[in-house]
Amino acid sequence: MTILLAASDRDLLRSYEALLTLDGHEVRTAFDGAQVASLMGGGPYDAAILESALPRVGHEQLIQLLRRENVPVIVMLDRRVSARHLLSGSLPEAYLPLPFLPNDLRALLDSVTEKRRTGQPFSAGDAAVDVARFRFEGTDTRLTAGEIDLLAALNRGEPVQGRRARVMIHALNEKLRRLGRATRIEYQPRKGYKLVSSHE
Amino acid sequence: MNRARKQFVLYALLAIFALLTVLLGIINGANFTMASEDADHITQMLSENQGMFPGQRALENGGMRLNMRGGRPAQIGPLGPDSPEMAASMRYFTFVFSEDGSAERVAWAISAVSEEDALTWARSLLGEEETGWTATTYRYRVYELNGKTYVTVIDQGRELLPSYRILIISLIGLAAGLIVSGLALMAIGRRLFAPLEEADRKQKRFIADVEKEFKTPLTVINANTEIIEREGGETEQTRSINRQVKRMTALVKDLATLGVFDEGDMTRTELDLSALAMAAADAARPGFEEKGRTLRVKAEEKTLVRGDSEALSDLMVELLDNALKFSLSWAELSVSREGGRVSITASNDTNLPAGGADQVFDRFTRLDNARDLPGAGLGLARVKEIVASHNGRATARVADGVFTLRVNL
Repeated sequence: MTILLAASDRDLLRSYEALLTLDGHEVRTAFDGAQVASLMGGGPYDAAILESALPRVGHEQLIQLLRRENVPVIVMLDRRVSARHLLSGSLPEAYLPLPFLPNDLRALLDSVTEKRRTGQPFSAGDAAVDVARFRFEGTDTRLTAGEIDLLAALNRGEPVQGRRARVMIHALNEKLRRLGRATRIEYQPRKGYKLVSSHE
Repeated sequence: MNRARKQFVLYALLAIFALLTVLLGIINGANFTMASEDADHITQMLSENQGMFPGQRALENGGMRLNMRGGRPAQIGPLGPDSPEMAASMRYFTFVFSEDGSAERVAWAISAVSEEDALTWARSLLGEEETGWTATTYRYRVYELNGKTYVTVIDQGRELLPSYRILIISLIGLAAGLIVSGLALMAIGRRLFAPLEEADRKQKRFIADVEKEFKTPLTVINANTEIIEREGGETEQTRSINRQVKRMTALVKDLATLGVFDEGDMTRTELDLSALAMAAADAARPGFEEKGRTLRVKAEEKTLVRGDSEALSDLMVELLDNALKFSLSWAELSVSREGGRVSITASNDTNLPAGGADQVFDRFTRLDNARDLPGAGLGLARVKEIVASHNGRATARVADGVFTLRVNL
């Protein structure tokens, strides 16, 4: 893969440039948002990994630019992911909170690029998920890779738990409500989280 | 800290209100009591003289006059009800009622009512208490003399006027005093709490800075350690680096739970606290089972509150994490509604000594039983922050071998 990697911390940039290169990827690096913008023409890129606090041009603006080039974006976040992040207007394909392990990044890269290439749409209640485009089908409401995986797991009746899941459930319920969908994710004692219709 | 300052102002204001109310209550109560006593003294005097002032005829004949010297009174006469001027200034009437119901006017010195109305008024008082207030400013007395019933009514309106004025002035003074006190307390509170608020802000900023400054280096160390291992193979040193990085990552994540919590980030919605408790308990149950401990959950059917879903879920998780870490054989989580408030209680058996344990909510504070266990003493500090942001209260107590954390929202 050709990866665009941007971080203002040089050690972070160099270490992950080296690691991703060892993994067999071609890596183009940038220290700030303006450099990222200038590297856009050097694509095509299979993925972009951006630090959230890039100087000169913020990651939200860069996400819009990269989206026009059809490049999926992973944002390295310097805080825990909250529902507020997942409900923001410029949602990347994935958030990766610091500190993380190299395998965390690899898993996320694989997940994002796999979904982009071969993602099959599925229905979660009355909400259809367009996996390849990371959104609810027929809408502009975007989803992260984690949210898509969670909806898929619920659809298969698999258990979901943990703080990360709770945060995503909160954000997904809000997105479904805004879209006017009847589907909700509800906790049922001894059964866990389930997809239910709000008409029930 | 903002909340603490507001509480200081509120409690101080309540104390001032209580003090002023007691003080003014005593003054006005004493004032009205003395007015009643003065009125009773007069009616008693009248009752001992068949409804007339003593020596009234004597007064008419000059019997109660002051001694004069040099053309002026040589003495200060008795004051109040015993004053010789009382007979001339008091507005009153007395009727006597015979057994056959007939009535006779005994004394008449009143202009506000006709004799007929006064008789009706006196007759209406026959079945009342021996003495009391009638028509607000009139004092009456009903008494027996020589087989007949006398009713005397005196007008105390003029005597009561100063008392009512004092009462109104007291109320205005109370309101003004509270307003001035409130403003003064707010100003004092700001100055008093400023250093504490600054210290709290600095601590939060420090925690946030430390958390931020550690995250990137830890990520870099993780990456470089892997590069070293891939190029030169895994060694004891790289394994040690990985262990220490894991340890520091856990501490940074603990710090993150405090630093990130800002009331401005909260999204309040109506949610079911019982459902959150059940979810947290179900997630924690495998951990309890692994350690051979019992986890009980008691939650009412639906306990709706308005709050931040993420924060309240985290609160449940922290309470259960704490119970799992420090319980000996069992733990219990319960959610219930008591009056207008919702109560979340996490309890577990313990070998801590009995007593209050609210210090567990302080940052970096750990009790004796935490010595050999992982953690930095931040989980319950986060619980306190979450509770405070929901206008609640958290307490901790040990009694009869049970450690109980109670949260009221």
